[in-house]
Amino acid sequence: MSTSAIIPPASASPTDRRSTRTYAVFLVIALVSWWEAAYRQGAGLGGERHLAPALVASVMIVARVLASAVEALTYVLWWRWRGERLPYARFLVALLALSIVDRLALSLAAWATRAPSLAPWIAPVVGPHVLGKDWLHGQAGLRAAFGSLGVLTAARVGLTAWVQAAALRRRLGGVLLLTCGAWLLTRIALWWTVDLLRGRSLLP
Amino acid sequence: MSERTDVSRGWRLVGWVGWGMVVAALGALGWLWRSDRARVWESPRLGPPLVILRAAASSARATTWLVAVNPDCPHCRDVLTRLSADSTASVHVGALIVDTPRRPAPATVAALPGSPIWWDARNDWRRRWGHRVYGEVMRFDARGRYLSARVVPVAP
Repeated sequence: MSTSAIIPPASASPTDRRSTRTYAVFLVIALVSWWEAAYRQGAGLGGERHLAPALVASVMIVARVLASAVEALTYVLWWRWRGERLPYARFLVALLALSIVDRLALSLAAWATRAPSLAPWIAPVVGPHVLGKDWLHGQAGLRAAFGSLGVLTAARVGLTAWVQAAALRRRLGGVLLLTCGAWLLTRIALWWTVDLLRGRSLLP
Repeated sequence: MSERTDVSRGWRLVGWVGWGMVVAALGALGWLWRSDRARVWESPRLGPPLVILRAAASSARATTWLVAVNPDCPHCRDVLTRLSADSTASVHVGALIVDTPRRPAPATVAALPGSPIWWDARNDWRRRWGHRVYGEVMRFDARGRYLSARVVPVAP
């Protein structure tokens, strides 16, 4: 598959436009899949708090789309500042479609919860958080920030960089460095925020 | 294909300011985190200045588990209800009412299961002990000395 098929240029050929439509199909699959997962979580929360699961799921989906929108905007502004134009809407669609990787990680983590004997095998793929509370016990911030670091997270970061490199016609190395740096900074911010929120209290 | 565009001086300046603000925000967060970690917090302890609102049956050897409860927090009350059902003669399960500047109304106290019920009138739980998560369970020995904390998972 050509990298230019990910985010075709403005003067895209019919082949590129077909690829974009294919990519949009992946976006729909990702969103439906997230909605289904959020609905099940909402059913658990809703029973306790008298909320309709569909409403909870919709709010979660909107939150996910907004988070991706902010992520896409950050990269677009970075490249604009560097004098290059990354098409926002197409990049956002790509990011949302790539979130199917995160959805897969969520499913595998749920699988590890149901079958704890599989957790050590699944951990390298979805991150050590599936190993339970004993992993980094008492370090809730570090667990929240880096507990999902596994093959799938690396793939997600790598693909995000690849999509940008393809759209910008740049070498992957530099873009990958930028994307890894951005991921690391957000994880560090999450680590510190969770620690500040919990203080000396324990977290589950 | 991306388009290389000329970046105006104004846009470049806005970029520098914007990214500078991001770096400054992260630096401020790191400074807060470092200060919070370096601060020496007091160890929790039962007794004055905490105010006892409902005493437990006296027992010289009983340990006390106190759930940090904000009366407006349903999750805290849920944890307290579940734990107090397991209360025994040697383990008292009660509540420490936190983040409540005014003395709780008798009806509020009566609605809480378990004993003892303490009220943190000076907000020591947050300001001196450094604890911040509602629903956490703190264990104290019979003399009111802090032993440890634990977390009770949210009910499914």
